[in-house]
Amino acid sequence: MTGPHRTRLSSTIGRLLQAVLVVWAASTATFVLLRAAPGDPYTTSLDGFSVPDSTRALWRAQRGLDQPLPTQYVLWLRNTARGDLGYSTMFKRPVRDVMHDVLPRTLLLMLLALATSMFCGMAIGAWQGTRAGSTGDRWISTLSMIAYSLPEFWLALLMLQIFVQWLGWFPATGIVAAMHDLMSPGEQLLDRLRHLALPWFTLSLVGTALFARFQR
Amino acid sequence: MIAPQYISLFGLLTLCALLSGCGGDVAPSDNREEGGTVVIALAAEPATLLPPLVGSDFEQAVSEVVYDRLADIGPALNTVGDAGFTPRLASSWQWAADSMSIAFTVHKDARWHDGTGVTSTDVQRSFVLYTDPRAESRNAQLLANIDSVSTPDAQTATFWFKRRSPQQFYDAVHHLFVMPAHLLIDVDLTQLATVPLARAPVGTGRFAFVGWTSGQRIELRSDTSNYRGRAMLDRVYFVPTPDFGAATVKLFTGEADFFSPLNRESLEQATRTPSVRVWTYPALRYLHLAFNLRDPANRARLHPVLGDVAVRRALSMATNRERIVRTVYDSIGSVAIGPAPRVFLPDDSLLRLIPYDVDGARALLDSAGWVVSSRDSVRSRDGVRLRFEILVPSVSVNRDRMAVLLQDQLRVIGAEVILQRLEPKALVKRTKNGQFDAWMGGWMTSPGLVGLRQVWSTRAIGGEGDNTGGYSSSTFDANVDTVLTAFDAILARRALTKAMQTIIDDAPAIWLVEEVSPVGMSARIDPGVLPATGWWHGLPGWRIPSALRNDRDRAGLGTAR
Repeated sequence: MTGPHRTRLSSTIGRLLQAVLVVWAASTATFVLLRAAPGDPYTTSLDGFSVPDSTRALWRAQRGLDQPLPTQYVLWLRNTARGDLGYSTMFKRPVRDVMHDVLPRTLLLMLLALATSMFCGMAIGAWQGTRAGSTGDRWISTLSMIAYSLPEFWLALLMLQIFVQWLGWFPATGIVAAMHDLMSPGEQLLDRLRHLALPWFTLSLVGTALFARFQR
Repeated sequence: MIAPQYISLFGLLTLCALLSGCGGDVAPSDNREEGGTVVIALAAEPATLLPPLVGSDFEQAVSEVVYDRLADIGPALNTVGDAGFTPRLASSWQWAADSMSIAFTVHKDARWHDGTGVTSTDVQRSFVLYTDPRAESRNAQLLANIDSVSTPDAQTATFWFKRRSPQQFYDAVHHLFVMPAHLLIDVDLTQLATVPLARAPVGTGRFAFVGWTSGQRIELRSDTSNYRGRAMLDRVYFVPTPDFGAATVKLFTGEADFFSPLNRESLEQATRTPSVRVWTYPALRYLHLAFNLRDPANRARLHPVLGDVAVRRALSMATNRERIVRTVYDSIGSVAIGPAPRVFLPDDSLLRLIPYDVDGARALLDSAGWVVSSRDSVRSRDGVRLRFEILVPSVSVNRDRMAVLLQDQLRVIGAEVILQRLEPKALVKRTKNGQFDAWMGGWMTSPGLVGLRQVWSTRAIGGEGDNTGGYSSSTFDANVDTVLTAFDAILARRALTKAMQTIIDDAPAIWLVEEVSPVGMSARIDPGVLPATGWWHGLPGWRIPSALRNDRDRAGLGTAR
């Protein structure tokens, strides 16, 4: 293997090891901090009938929460390495199943937003580059700077207020309407686009500004 | 010349328009008595629909319209004997001569939504799933008086009780929804939450489960061959939203037809929205400022400040509860009487409440030796200042607002109140261990008065009980025992009045508010009466007059494309 290739390979391996280290440190910190907080999933609720302490102890034992912290940690690490992310007492399902439901939608939205941002951002940046110093360039630079500086969550709230609450053009939440299955294929496509529009636009706007600035 | 990107956009829009025309049915006219579709917004997504595991009201709302009880409690919420109960999955029942067992006959026409007939084995298996501690059901305690369920034949399920109790019929039917045993064979009880039935329920209710798309919707459809007759609506969608705000937006924009409960702010918007009507029903929940009567440093001693009944009564007298309720709740709450909602009290006019009397409160403290010195505006006695801390759950806006008002009102009589906001689990840990002076508590009741014993009796102090403040009164205990064990309704009523008066006089808490649950509903829906046990129990009877039906309602009972 030649020099530059070897350097690139060792650099890649180094980066991968760093990534593993970061993931391990972050997840371990989360594990410890969660257990340092008072109570556990089987602590009694605020108002309402209590469950006997003996029953709570049994539930903790069933989930391994009665084990010493180091034992719990080793078990958790081993299971995670095998792809078993455990059981969510909040969702009352395996964590893997919960992620299986939400991940495709998140990826769809993020990929759409990323592709739009890259395409629009590069096009705008290139256009600006060919007209550097013009009035149009200065205007777009200012606008992209503003868009880039806006927090996404704030922009999303603004969009909700205008396009959902005031104008009623788009749905507030969800990826399809309740009666989606009863629609014709065309209606289904429109319905999905209507639901995607606001989050897609919001994420794309900030991304476009970022890519445009770099491209220019 | 048109730019290429506009041509592409035009093309896409044309394609969408063409596609939207494909296969779309013209909505038929609909003059049927039954019919209509209701979209119900939920403030969060249910985690499970398996009855023993459901906890929140949005889980109950879905689960309890798919499954049936053996009998339903009547509108008067009577829990003594079987008076007022309506047969449901049980067509009839027979009490044993000694009242130690009740034999329920399963309705001969009842069938599960998958077509299988209902048998007594289903009842027996359901009881086991509720009560086996491995199943992690928080409702097991409510069935503690039932020893076992036997099945002498395929249609008869006999409940055997540990002791006679006026509420034993209520215990057997109200807390237990019957599940299909044939779909729960060889289930590992430690993994009950993960059985397919938890997310795809098969019940006997007038609505049958159709599907659940996680994060999107849960669909129910009228069971047209139900043994009790079909529901009036064709279908119901439960649409989970990420938070309260999103749910109310769905209601006000017409995306959803129903949301509960509205808060004070959204209530105002609902009254300004012509397409939405507001309905209310009692929430069976009260909130109070609970005092710790025992010293947190040594539980064997009385609390140095709040252990004195004169102090507690004076604090109650100095609290303008009417003002607190109007300020925080406006019209969606009423001043609480004591540790039971009004709906359970036969005649609350017989009770003498501690009046709002600031001068009287000052005089009471003076006479008890709690005086203001020239150097300090806070009263003290024998070097102990009239000072205490109120724990407030950080997640409850209303409790926080009430605590702030209390702090202000009690300062007037020379009491120093410190507010400590805590995350719920941290708060529960402190109160369970008796490490508090006072806390903004609440209690969600179910029909019946068992909560009186559960929270305020001497036997509920310490260990597994919920009497965190250590209130103890033999008079109260004896009368509550009579309330819960007397078969004579007049005797029980008298005992309840005595118990309530005793605890009101002893003031182990300041009873603040009984909440009312306002719901926002599309004006085209006629829900009849919203039952106090939960609005969803009336769902099969909701109607949408044919003249008011929209396209959504006219979709009928058709299936997905």
